[in-house]
Amino acid sequence: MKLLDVINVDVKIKSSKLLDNISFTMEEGSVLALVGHNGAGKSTLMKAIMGVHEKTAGEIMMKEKYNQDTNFLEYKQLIAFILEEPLLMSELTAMQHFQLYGKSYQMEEAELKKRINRYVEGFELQGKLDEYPESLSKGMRQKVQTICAMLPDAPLLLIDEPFMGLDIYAVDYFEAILKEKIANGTSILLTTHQLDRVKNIANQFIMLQEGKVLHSGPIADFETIKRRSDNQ
Amino acid sequence: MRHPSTWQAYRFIRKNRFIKKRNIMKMLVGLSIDKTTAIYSLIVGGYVFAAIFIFNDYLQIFKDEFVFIERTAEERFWLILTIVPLRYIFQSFRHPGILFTSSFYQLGMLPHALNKIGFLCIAEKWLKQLLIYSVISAVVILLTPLNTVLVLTYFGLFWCIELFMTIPQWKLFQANFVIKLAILLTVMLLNVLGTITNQSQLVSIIVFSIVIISNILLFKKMYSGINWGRVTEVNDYLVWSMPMVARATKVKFKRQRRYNLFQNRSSRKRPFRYTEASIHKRLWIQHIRENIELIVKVVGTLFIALVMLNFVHHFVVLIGIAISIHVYTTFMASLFVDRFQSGIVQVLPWDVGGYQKTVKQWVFYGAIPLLIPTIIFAIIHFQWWSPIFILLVIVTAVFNYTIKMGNAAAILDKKLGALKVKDVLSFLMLGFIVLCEYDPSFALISMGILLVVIYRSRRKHKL
Repeated sequence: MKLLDVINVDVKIKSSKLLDNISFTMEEGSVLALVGHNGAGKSTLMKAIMGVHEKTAGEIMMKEKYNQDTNFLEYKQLIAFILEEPLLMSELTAMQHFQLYGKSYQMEEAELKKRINRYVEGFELQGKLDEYPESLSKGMRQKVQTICAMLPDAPLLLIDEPFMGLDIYAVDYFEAILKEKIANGTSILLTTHQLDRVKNIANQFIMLQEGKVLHSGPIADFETIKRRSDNQ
Repeated sequence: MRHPSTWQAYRFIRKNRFIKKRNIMKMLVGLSIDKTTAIYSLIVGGYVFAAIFIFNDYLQIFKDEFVFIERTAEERFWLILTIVPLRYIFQSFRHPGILFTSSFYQLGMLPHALNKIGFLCIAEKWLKQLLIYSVISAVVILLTPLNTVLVLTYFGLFWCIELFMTIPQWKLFQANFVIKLAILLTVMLLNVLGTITNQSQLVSIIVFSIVIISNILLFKKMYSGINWGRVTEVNDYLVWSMPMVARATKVKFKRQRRYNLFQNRSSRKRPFRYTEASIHKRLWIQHIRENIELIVKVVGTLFIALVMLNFVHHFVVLIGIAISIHVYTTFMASLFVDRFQSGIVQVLPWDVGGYQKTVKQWVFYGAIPLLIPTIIFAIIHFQWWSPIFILLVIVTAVFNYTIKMGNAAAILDKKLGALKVKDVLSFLMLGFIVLCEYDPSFALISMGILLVVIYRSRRKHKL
């Protein structure tokens, strides 16, 4: 079944087009990697899907019935988002962030606690739960943000640069959780510069250039396209 | 060894800041104003100016007021001299008074002395203020019959206070909240005592002497014990926060909030009770704190207007109450929508109904300053009808609030459509408040509405 439909999406600021006629579809349980140089439009596309960046044309649908333009509240409930830069509130501790996420995705308290304990141990954040973001290192803040998005069972996970700022153990652990989520039917749309790292996870790719889809297809084809582009 | 020129580096940063701001404003103007609108606006503006100041003999109309202003200004000179410094003490709670931004602080990391950069910031501020006061005093002298010497004395005095309060405000900004409050209350108390005992001149001499002594004492320690993080954070916000641009681009420049006094309390670090009320309470407090200046301005203006209108006419007070309800409920609804436009909440799913429930108490607290003058007016003006009139005001406010929050929810769900009957009704209800001037029995409409609401909610429960 189709999970995400992006149909002819444009994002414009004045006369400059950040995204130009982007269309693609994601099936349930699939993993799509968005690749491209800096400024290609990867993060803009993520934000447009999230509804943070307003699109100027096109349609974005979840599960074929939740349209971003007409059912925004239900639409949002189906997506969890990890940003490249941790987006945490100075007023909330790590634990309070987890609770805010839990409540926003309407999770049961017992289940939330179970998952928090598990992920906190896995990401080695014990003893940091009552700390405010300012007293955590950048890597730890990234871990807090990652755990927040891992807590709910949102059908679609958007991850902007998944391994940015994480140490090598955290990267391994995160990869394992992602695989578990995928096995349980979660779809993931991620942007990355480290395609080698996500090659074992992703099954499709889209290459963006100056806001347009340059290539797309199964991840296995990526190397051939990359070599061909490099030679040109 | 050659030293780099701090002045040139300072000028370079200021020039580029100006260029960047100018470009942003140009873009804003390009986005929001076309040439035809601009020309028509200029014509209308010119006509209004001509109507007021050229064709109308306003000097004759406001003759008594000008005489009153001149007499008061002469009589209260010493009192005003001690009241003006209060402004700077009050400002020191939020603003350091010297526009030392993070760019200037970074300049201090290069071979430039912080005190030299600080001096340039202060000099710029003083010159700017001098220019502003000169322009204002020139306009006042040209357009009003007020005594030129008096106007110049006053604006000269304001500028001197600006000068002498720069260092005290800068150092006070660094001080503990209690110290600031103690100083503020002491100066206020001195003013009250001076007025009661008719010794304003003595009080102003004491206050001014303290200000000058503190300048001498603090000058050498100006840059020691400074929390630069806080100073640059506030100043960056002041420099780059451009409300018109934020409104047009829907991108808000938010202050980077860091620790505060209350945040270090262990009770605030404890996990929430896992309820909406408990989690949302923190989010609302944070949102209110972020917008506190705007909230105080709006509620404060409405409060002052409701109080002052009592001195004009009853009918105008009723119009004021109706407008206050409209403005306050619209403002609260837009503040509600704003909660979802930035930060972490923007990327989370929104249980709008839940947020609407938890914001109610804060909306009520904000309405208290408006309710007090309304109730006092109702008791004095309507006497036996006052309970019914107050009920009408409350019902109208709740009705307007409910409609506007419903629209806010629709905006968040991207479902807001055309004007509905409910919107028109909520507007019409405001009219009933004004009609009470002709016949207080119009207030009985509130009872009817209340009965309809109770009947409908009961029917809903049964279904």
